[in-house]
Amino acid sequence: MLSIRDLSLTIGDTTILNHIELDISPGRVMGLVGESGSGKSITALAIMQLLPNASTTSGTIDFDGRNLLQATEKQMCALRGDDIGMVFQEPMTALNPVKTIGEQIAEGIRFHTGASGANARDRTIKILEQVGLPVAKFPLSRYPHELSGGQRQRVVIAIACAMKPKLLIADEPTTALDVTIQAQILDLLRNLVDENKMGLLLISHDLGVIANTADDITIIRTGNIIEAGSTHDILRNQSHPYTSQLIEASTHSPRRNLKPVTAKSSIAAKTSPLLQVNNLICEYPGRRKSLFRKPTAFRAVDDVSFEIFPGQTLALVGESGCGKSTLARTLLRVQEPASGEINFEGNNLLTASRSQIFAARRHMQIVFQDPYGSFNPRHKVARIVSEPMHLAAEKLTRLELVDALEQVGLQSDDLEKYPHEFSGGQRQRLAIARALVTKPRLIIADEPVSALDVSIRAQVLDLLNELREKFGLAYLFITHDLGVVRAFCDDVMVMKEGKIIERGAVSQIFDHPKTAYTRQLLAASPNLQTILKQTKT
Amino acid sequence: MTYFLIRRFTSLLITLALATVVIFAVMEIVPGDPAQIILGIGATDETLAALRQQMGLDQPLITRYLQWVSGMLIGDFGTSYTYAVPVWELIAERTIVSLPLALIALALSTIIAIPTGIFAASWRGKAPDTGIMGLTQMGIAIPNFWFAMLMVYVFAVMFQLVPAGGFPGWQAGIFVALKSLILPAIALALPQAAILARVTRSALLESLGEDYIRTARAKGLTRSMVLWRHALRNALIPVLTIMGLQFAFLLAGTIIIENVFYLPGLGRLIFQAITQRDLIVVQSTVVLLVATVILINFLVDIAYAWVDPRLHAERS
Repeated sequence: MLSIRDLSLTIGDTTILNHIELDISPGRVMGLVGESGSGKSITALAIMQLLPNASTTSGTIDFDGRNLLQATEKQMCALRGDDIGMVFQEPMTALNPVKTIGEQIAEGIRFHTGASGANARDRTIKILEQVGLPVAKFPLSRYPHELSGGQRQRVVIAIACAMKPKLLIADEPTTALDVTIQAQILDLLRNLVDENKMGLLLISHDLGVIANTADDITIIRTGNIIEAGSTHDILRNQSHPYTSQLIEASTHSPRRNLKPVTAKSSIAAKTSPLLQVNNLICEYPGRRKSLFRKPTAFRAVDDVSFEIFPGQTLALVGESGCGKSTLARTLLRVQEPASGEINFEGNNLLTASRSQIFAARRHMQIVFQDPYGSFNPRHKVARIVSEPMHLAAEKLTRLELVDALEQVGLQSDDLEKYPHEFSGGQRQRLAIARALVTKPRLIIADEPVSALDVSIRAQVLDLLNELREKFGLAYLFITHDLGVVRAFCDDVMVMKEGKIIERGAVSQIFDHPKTAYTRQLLAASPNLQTILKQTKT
Repeated sequence: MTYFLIRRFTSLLITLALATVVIFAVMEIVPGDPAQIILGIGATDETLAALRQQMGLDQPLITRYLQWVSGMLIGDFGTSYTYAVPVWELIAERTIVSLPLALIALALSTIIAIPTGIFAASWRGKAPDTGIMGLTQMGIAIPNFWFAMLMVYVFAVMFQLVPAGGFPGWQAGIFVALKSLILPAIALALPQAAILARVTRSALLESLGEDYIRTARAKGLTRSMVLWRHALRNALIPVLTIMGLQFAFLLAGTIIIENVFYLPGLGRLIFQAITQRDLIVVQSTVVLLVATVILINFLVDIAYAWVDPRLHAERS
């Protein structure tokens, strides 16, 4: 149905795509996997002919006997949304905030069929039902902001599928969503493919997602197709070295030379905890419903107690909005808790004086998800990395700075550079270097590898592991990615709606989850290792 | 929505009350004794004291403030020191010039600016866009009084289409009155239009870069359909903000243009009242203008809520 032959694309002097070949047949899911910058999204935009103005293309994109590269804009408008639909990554911004969902779905139907208002309305209701938003619960008059991320993504899928397209392109459709929602959306896409016999081009950086859903896989790297074939064959044979490298990186687990430090072993060894949190409660002021009543507060962290021992890596997992980040911010005293106790190295941080808090902060550092957002773009690396020391009113010698950089695998001449000169992985290394200069004992890592490509993620995990073994660092590792938890952490706490609902050693919780919620999380998160094992047999 | 409106309205009243205090206090600090100015420097102390007593200037501050505010609440703005007529009459007689002028100017500026901004945005980076941006740059840079004089020379002196200045009053006939307002309105509107056009263009370009535009394009809509149906309404919010600010300026900030055209407007009233230390007129006019500005902001807030459904988020 869709067959791309020898597609090359350049923007200015840069080659983005190099002789791409790709085939999609009706009723099948083609997974396009690659790391960021590999040309996945540009391939999708080339099919849609929604490329940036400055790009030039060669080759053919044959769709139902028509070369899309030669189609006029008018012909493309007739195809887009009718025979070819597209779903994007960011459901939060993909819908127009000032129009109701009904209007936005009906708009495409009316444009392509010239249907009357009532007719389009009926079809809108039908398609919404098909994507799991029954009109009784989700009236057409809803605005996007009245829906959750997963629900919005369903609306975007409804828009794309309203005309029963022959081809659906889904560009990272679940990357911004929680695992349980991700599983639901992937199921929905799979069902639509089976029901409507459409072809699906599923684009993702996550091999696990693709392996779970796609019939065929194409692997792309820096604008070149590495290999293509059925999912089973690709995963089983791993014939191309890059493929096996990608699979290794996706399932990478740092090699531990020292024994894991779990709460159980620490208590047995009578080590006193580094951080002890007792009955912590954090609240946000709620929405005022009446002028005369006090608004009811929203409890983001609800009576949480836990301990972290020196050298222990404790994972905090949960879906977005469960209170993970609020907890981290409160531990750093960026945010005030409503009540509770935070003891760090024996000092109660909530009653401590300013100087004691400063001292405590030296030993407790943070690494964020998006390192770029946490650097001042006008500061050089030397200043960024020594930033925590301004707080401690000490100056770092150049030697110490170089040492900090070398520990994270960067060089001394990087000190004179600006953050924008680094890649995503290098920036995360910088963030780690910055956290390390004060010789901390605990690092709070808030989704430290979520924004990174798999190969970089493997390297950063290795680095964190090395530092853990070298300095006996403890980590509070906040993540939504259960794969990373299994690969890297000692103990795990599962958080739901502000409460810790389950805790224990990672292997114990993951292999024998006690609560239904944990089971659900585990079932929903795509597990590449299990799939690999299945293909072997 | 109702809650949003109540909250905004409450804050409107509080702001207004605070404004009266500030204005009153500033007027007290300003040097110059109204009684002295009325009677001239040759006046004796007794006559001065008598006049002060008659004007109520000998009362304590608080009493005078309360009298002034409570008077305004029942529509009594006091009596002008210089003209010895009720302030309310002075203001009313000027407002019937200034308000229509401001409205015409705002309408003109909107009619010119929004289509121009949309046109420039849809030709982004091409010749029409560059040309329009150059023109708006000039519109902002050229002082409006200079432009006003140019227009007077061309349209009033050379072609004699409209009067060069003055205002015949509405009793002379609506058409005649409007004729004398049209040049000042254009002079006021052009620089405002230049600013508004630029704001419209950049707001539109920003919303054209949003993800939902890509979604709409993937639906099959053409470039221009996307602009009109999806980008424009989202771009209206900054445009409304600027329009609110501009209207407030047009109502009171037009002293120069009123002087160029000899128009008896509010701007000139304040200017004259200040030079004559006619404090009661200054105070009352300023309060009225503050009230108008606050009211316009309130209306702009309501317009926001109308444009952006996220602001009437009471349904759950």
